[in-house]
Amino acid sequence: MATTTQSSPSVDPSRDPSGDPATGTYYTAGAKAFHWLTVLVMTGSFALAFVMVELPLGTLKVSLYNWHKTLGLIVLALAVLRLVWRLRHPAPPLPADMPAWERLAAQVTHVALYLFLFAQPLVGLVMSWASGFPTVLFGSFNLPNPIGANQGLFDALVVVHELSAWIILALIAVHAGAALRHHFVKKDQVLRRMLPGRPPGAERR
Amino acid sequence: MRATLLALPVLMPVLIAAAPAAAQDAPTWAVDPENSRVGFVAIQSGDEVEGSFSAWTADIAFDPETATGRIEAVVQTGSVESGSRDRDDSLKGDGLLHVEAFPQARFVADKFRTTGEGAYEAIGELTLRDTTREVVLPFTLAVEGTTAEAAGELSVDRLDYGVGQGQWADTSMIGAEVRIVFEIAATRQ
Repeated sequence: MATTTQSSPSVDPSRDPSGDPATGTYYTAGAKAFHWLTVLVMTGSFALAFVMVELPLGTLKVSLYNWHKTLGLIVLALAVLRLVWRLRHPAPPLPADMPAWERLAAQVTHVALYLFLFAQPLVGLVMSWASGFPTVLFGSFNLPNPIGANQGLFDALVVVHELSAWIILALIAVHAGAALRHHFVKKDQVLRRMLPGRPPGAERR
Repeated sequence: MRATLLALPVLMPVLIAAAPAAAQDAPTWAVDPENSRVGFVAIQSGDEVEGSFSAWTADIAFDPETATGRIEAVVQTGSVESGSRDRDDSLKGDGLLHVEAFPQARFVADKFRTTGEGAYEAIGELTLRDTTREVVLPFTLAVEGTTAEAAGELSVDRLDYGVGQGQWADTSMIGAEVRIVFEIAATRQ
């Protein structure tokens, strides 16, 4: 928090529009890219999920499942790369005036979201194996199946995968709701620091 | 060619008379269901998928020495199992086996050829759904005392039998070629 002593005492560093990634006030371009790519791919994955489960068993349903599996594994790949990035580029600090319970809530939500970014695709992958249906990625190549068809395991994982999906949607609602609250109610920089592009007034790195 | 065609009506009564006689002479074999299997290998999205039928019967009369006899196998199509309930439901549905309308598949053969040591061909008719076609089914047979083990497989184009209606006629997800496979252990009666 070295910047605190350098800026005027009345201005919180996280609200200082001149803050930039160099001082840890904004997310790095890489962190933003991972975040918004994940948003994009997950939106597609959820959209496919809602449509595919309603379809009658047929070739279209199977194709949509395979694209859902493809997007799920992209989410997993992004999560792995993102975690590596995150460990090398720590998140900027939360506003100094945030109450303890809000910090805790933010922490718990972020950790939970990270966990599900890994867990949900992995559960889906094992589920796909247990289904005995080929896992066709990008509509063109098949993933090997190390476990083979297992109806019992599949039935169990369907419940887990679906429950997890609803928990993820709830977490996203909390996460996005909190970000909007920061922007529109608390009027701080918390949302803006994850928005694409250079933050207003920030120095080019 | 002409001579052959003319000869057929003459020979026909002889052939018809000879066939049942051969079948009657051939020893009958009782299938040991525990050690027998009737199934298939299909290609789904490029991967091999195996399935089998748990309910089927086979009446077998066959003399390995003379390669004569008669085989009739009846498979209950609704007993199909491929490791996945969803896939089984698709297989049983009207687009594929349509087990409600066609609960049985059938193979009947009464002509045989010896093709090698313990190797034969059964010339018969395969019925899937409502389509019957002549097929030549190669199989091996190993007899030891009163027990015998037979195995064979037959590649068919599922679309020849109408197994693939509507969207399932598309062979990009489920290949046209399906290998019908069997392993039968039997005891001489």
